[in-house]
Amino acid sequence: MKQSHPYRSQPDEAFWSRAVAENYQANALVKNLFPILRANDTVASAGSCFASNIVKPIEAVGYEYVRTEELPFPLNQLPENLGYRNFSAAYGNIYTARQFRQLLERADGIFRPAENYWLMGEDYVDPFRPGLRYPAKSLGEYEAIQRQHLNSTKEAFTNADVTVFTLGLTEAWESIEDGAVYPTCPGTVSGVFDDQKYRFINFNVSEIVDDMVQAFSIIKSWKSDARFILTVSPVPLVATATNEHVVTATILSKSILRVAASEVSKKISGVKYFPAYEIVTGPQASENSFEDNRRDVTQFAIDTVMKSLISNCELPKDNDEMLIQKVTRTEKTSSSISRELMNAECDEVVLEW
Amino acid sequence: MPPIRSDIWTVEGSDKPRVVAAGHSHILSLLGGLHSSAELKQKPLAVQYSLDRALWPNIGDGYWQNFQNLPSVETVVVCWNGNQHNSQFLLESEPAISVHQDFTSDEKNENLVIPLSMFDELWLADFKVLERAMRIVSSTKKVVLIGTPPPKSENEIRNNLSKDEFFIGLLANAGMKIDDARITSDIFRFVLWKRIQQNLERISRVVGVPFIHVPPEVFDNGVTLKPEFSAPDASHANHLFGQVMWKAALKSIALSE
Repeated sequence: MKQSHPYRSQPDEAFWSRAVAENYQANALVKNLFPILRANDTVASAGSCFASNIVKPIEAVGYEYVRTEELPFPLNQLPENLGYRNFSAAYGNIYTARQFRQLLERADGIFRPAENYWLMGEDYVDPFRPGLRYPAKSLGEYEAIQRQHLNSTKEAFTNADVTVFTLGLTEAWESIEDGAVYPTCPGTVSGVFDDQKYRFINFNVSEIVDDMVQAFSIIKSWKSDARFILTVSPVPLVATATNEHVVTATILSKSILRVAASEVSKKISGVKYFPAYEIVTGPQASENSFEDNRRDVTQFAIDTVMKSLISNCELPKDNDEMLIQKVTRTEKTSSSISRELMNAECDEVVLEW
Repeated sequence: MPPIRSDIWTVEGSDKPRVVAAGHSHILSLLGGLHSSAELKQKPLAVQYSLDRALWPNIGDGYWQNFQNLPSVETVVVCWNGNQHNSQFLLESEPAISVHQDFTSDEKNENLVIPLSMFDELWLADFKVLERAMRIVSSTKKVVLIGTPPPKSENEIRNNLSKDEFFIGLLANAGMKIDDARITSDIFRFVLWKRIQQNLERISRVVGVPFIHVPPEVFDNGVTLKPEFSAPDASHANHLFGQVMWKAALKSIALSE
């Protein structure tokens, strides 16, 4: 007679031989999260790659992606750097939990970094958005833009039913004076590196958990029923500031982030962990998940992740295409009316002579 | 060198002008100024303008090269574009935008704040054409670059456009009435206009020619064009403005008797 034990009652998904060696489906990793998004959810996102990759797929099926710092035509035709337009507000990539927490604290008016700008020649550079293509040229202009950006950031997360956040890195550079964390090491994209002012930090699990719990708590103070999707980026480090090989540094970093994500989802209500990281990097993942440089995630892998996300959402019933068209039409209308009027006036004034 | 497309441009004013104003539509206020001022009529001044509406505003190298065929001309007064703040930004966009204003508080502003350096990039291609044009002219003639008319007040614009069938038609096509048209604020258009003047001054420095600012006497409260200097539309100035600009430009030009 066979002995009874807990594994006997486990489903097939709990067994490698049944769920991976044979019959593997990425969807199986997420189906217990259904519905990841509800039919009428509005979505904001922040973090690194996945948080921007989701935008097109969710909009394509009719979800509203919250945007609070969109540029009107024709300004939206001008180029910008480093993906500052890829997210709900123009914060760009946010790589660490601490950076995210501090962004929200700045938006809430409870943290003001001691070094609030870098003066690079005539340019007032935002240390937390160092790659912005169009810098302010006066302190007054800089503060006006920053104030409005932080207001827009708060508005984005206040208006979203669901915030998607992707944890990217554990390694960062912070201010020695007040612990302000930068998206990139000062002196790389902009700024000047000074080891008397900046130091390296490699966040551990408890620090990341605390930062994410605080961050989500801030958002919940703005919107009490806010929900969250937490993911870990599968993209390896560009470089490590530790003494480790970049591979071991990457695995350590991702492992810490993965454990932290699990802890956060237990500590705070309304958080779902979405296993994009596992879908792309697990032993079961396709050999086509990374490009030849073994760092860039292939479109195939992104599509696999998005398909498993979307297939476990309650899809919106009504399509908001009409709303999008109306906004586009309005943007082009005011600009085109202005231009047509000016062209006509320039023509007509000739005739007066 | 024979005239290049000289049948497309007219040089109007003195028979043997020593100073010619050239550029886009705002030069016609200088033509009006010339005709309406007995004092200016006595001087060897003229305006070169295009009768071919298809050329506005793309007046091309040939227009500037034509001065080589006007041997009496010593100095060209260039008036370039001048409608960038109106074209595309006369009406409020969606979402509405604003710029930092040195003299009012931004605290209550809820519009997206756009750095002025972004407008510099938007206008960059046009200013590169200006620089090219001035270099063409300055190879054979002296050049003076003048400022362009300041923006008009919203009240004046709305008043003028309420009688403009073309504008009313444009709005109707977009499902709007004149009262629905949200014209951008005077301050917003003034800040953009001021940035345009700063760019013009920068380019004049690069080319090595004088830049003549619009004199303060034409301003209302330092922000908008006084109505008495305004043509009956949304953007152009009249002959009185032209007289003011001629006088300002001529101060920097040595016209010996």
